[in-house]
Amino acid sequence: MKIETRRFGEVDVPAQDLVTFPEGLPGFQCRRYVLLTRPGAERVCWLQSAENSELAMMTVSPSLLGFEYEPRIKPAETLILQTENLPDLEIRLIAAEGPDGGLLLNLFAPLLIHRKVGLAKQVPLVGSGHSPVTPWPAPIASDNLPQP
Amino acid sequence: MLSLARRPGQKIRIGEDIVIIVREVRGRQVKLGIDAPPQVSVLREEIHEELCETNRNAARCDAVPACLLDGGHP
Repeated sequence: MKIETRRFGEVDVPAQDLVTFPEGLPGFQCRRYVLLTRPGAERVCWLQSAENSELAMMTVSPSLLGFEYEPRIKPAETLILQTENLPDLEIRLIAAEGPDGGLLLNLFAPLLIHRKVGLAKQVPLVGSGHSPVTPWPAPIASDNLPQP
Repeated sequence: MLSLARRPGQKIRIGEDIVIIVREVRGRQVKLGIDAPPQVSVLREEIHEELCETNRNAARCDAVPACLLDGGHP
């Protein structure tokens, strides 16, 4: 199917690549998205709306973080994704442009994507202590800087 | 919007399987207990708003920052 996008022009994606957020994605009306990767920036997957050409967000894999990111997800929270088996799910983090050319990663509310059935959900990890705007790369603490 | 007056210990039922109980009223604060199926998301409104705002901010970005381009650092 062909999808109009402002950032990437018209893209042709197989219908089975559509990802639906049955509960929606907070902040937006759109429920159907595709994940697009562009040559030259393979570490980023754009979550592009299939219904609104303007709407797209960068997402990255938590493996980028450089530390173990193991969100505690209750099995009941993934029922809507038709699985209670966490390994069925791909975890991605929404990223925004941060200061100094870095990123702000939303570690507080990861995306869970069940590609096999084309379903996804954003899960807020209430009480996890994670921030929705975690700077990446992590700023170097001043006491770790070499002394003059 | 429906407004209901309740006293501590009294409940409100929403649909078949959501029950809200007023646990305690102290000064300007009300403590609520919420009984809902595990797949129903229950969030403080300000957390939901923060989530919406963070997502909208992310959707304003147009270009991949240099640090994420292939061959970029780190």
